[in-house]
Amino acid sequence: MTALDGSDADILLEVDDLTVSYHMGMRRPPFRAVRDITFKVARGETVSIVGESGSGKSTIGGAILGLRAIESGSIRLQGEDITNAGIKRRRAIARHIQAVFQDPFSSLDPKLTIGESVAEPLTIGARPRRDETLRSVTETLGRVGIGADALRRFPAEFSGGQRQRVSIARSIIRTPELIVCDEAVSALDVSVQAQVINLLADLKADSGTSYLFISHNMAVVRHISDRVIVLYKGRIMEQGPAADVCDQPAHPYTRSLIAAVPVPNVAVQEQRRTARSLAAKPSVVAGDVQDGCPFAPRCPFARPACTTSGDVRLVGVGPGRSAACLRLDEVLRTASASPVIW
Amino acid sequence: MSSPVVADAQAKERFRTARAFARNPLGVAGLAFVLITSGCVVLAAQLAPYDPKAQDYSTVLSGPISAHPLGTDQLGRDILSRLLFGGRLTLLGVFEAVAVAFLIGVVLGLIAGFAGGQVDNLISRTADIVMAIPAIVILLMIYAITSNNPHYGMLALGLLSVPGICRVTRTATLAAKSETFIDVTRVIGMGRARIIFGHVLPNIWGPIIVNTSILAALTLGIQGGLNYLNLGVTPPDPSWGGMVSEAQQSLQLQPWLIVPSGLTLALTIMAFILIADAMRDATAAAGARSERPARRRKAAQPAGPVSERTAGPAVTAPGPVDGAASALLAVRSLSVAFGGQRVVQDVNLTVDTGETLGIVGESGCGKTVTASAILGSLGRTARVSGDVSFLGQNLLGVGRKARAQVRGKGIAYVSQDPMVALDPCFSVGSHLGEVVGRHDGLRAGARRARVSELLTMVGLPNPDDVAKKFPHELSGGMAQRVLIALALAGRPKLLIADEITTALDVTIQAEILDLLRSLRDETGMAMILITHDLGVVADICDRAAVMYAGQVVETAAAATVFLAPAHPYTQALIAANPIVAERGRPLASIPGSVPPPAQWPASCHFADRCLRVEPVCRSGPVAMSQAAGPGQTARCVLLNAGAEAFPVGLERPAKEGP
Repeated sequence: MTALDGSDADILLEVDDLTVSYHMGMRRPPFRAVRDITFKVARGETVSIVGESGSGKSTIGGAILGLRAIESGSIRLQGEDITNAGIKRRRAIARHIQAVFQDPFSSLDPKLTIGESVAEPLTIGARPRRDETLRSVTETLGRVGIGADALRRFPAEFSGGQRQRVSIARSIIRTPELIVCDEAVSALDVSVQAQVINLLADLKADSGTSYLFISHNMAVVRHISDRVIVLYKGRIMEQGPAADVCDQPAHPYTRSLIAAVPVPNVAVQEQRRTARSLAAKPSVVAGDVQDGCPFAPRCPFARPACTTSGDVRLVGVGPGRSAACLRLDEVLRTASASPVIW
Repeated sequence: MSSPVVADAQAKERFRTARAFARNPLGVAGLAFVLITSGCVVLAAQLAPYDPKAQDYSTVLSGPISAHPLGTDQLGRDILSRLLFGGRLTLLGVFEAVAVAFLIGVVLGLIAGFAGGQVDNLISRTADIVMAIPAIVILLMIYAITSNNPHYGMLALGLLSVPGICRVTRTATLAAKSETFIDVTRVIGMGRARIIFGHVLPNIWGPIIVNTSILAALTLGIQGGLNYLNLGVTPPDPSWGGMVSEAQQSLQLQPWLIVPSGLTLALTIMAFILIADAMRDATAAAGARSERPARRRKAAQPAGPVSERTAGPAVTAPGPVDGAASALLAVRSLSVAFGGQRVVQDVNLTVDTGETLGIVGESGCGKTVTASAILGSLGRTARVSGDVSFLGQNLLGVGRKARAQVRGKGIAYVSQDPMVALDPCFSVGSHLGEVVGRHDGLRAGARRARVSELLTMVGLPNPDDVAKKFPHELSGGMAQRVLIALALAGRPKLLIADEITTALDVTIQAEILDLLRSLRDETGMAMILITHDLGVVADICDRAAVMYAGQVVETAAAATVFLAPAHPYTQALIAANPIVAERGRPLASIPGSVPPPAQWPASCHFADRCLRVEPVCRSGPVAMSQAAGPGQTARCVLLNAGAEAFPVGLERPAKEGP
């Protein structure tokens, strides 16, 4: 948890001006899923990317994992450029970056036993000895709380939470430095979600793994992150230490995202709702924004200038913290008057 | 697939599809027929009683006799022998054609599906062109050029059949490629060939085999026709199609002659079709098991005998339903069973006019089944017992018509997935218009006005524009609003909303909850909100019923549930929420997961996961009993065991922001 603002020695992953587009067919212009994304992940750090559906958060994960072609920008792992790496390079990178995905029902091949699935990363470009593999798989499954009797069974016999544990076991079997968790706990029930979150925290404490945690759930992000990146329509709206971003959000979008989370307490939720409705003013800006702040049409602080001033850049609002908003002064003034209630 | 653990795999699971196939008698019969026929044909030299070309003019057109069990033809040749030897050419030809189509089609389909882009374009367009070629013209040319060689014709037919197999493989590959486990293989650095042969192909065999089997049937038919025209076979060499042709020439002298060859051809074609059918069913059955659990359980097997008496907590008195007489909805001792398996047990709920009740719990706890039982939409396999009274009328006792009367006008329902609930062929306006027409009987103009009014009620600006839109043009939030408008069309007194905000972003969820709140205030309707999110309950519900493993374990006013939860499950559920936890500290998780209905004990269902379990918890069914708060009841034997029984939830009051 050092290097919050990036002394290079401890930087594991650097993403610079990342832009990813999707082709929408021959007659339509490509869709920019994310644009000019820059951030770093230090060793042992949990960085969360949070945003609503369609914000492009999974696209960033996909680009880092080599699942999405990068249009421009660069991704460096331990200083080495891994942008658009080919299959052979990916094989070497896989040693360092692994992933856990959202859907526990489709992330394990139904035709493979649990043991085969978890062992698979060991067999890429290598032919390990059978007993070594077996020992390693059993031990790794043990670390995620799955007994050895699961080895020969198939995914269909396991619950969502158990399958997610198996996916985690597969991702940690080669002790990667970074695990990209793409909505890894979103499909789970609350009680199981808590188990998996605790498991991820334990693994981090044991082996110093870094996480890039992609989620739409502000409460989960607030709980587990060291740093948070708030994404809206493919752009970073705000980023900084989790405690600051989640408890004293600077950007109007972050504020609205947090205000919308219903908390399990009637009195507090009532306060939050009142605060939310007081803060909610329709935006003076309408329609899609081509040139300017993408959030302007939903923003109670927006002015016509927000949509015509070109790209809104991230500006520093505190140590290791920045937000992309033209009206930060006013937003922060309002923020200090009505703090976020969790 | 070269993982060393492979050898350990249990064959039982791996060959699930094969086992499902083996359970289909028609499929097995088809496969047996093809195998036996092929075996006989291969062993023709040993089995055949005569030389297939040996003529015997003493017994022409004999019909079945002991020396010739299937009779003889016009030249006195033994039909059985000709059938056996003729099958060689016939089945070999089918094999050649199908093998060519299969090998090339599967490989091209895999490449097209997996590579995508320009490669896919090239392969798919070429396949389209090949499909447009008139096969019969090509075949006639080939037979002419190769002086009636039986093999070239069938190989050409195989090539012409490649596009069919290629397309099926491509489609299946595309579907398999979108599975997350394929992404995972790429993340771990697996090579393309191993992904395709280790992960894609094993998951798409089903449709490929189905189509290959159908192709075999088609090829046999086409080949029979060609041989009938003496293409690809030169008399006196026997072939099944050729024998039909010969039989036809003497049809008037000996009608029997057409039977052996015609029937063999027909039966073999049928056998291939049966194999395809059984294979398709087997693939579907095997796939169904590995799919995610359906939200709503459908009982596959016929309902077994179910005791109509409520089991489980038999001690429950009609009980803790206070004020039930005046309630809008009163559910008493509701139990639901599928196939003898009870999935909802002894549920007691009341909803007063204008009240909002939250039913909260994790998946698999019976929330949706309870709602469906109230609506009477469970289907015939469900055994429902107990009492659901709405405005004093017992809904479980009345017939389908009376039920339908209540649905929509009395009780309306909004489901989780708006996109599934809306028919993609109809506009929002026609969806609403139909329902408005049924409830209000309005015509054209008035109906449009009412539709517009409903869309305005659910907060959609420009209702007339929205009415013209089709479901695919709506965002998730808009679609959910449309569904709510549909539910409001009958001016219901009770709205049941089943996880309606689960699939939405938090900001949209907040808007929908605000909408429900304002609709409730405007119309005075009561609501039942089914959710797994305690935050939603805190936001909008007056009272909450917490369900665990088929039972209501706690009911209380919403404020009480959060401030002084009585049941250990409620406490644990609140404590497990990351909002409540302190940052950097482990979450208070509940060990294990919700057990499936078959593993529910007769005693406390939560005992196995409960941190405070005691021997008494496992001694027998637990009834709902009064807890500390006003109107608070809980299903826990330790309820009155002392103040130290409630640590978890109470310890964590909501924290204020800095």
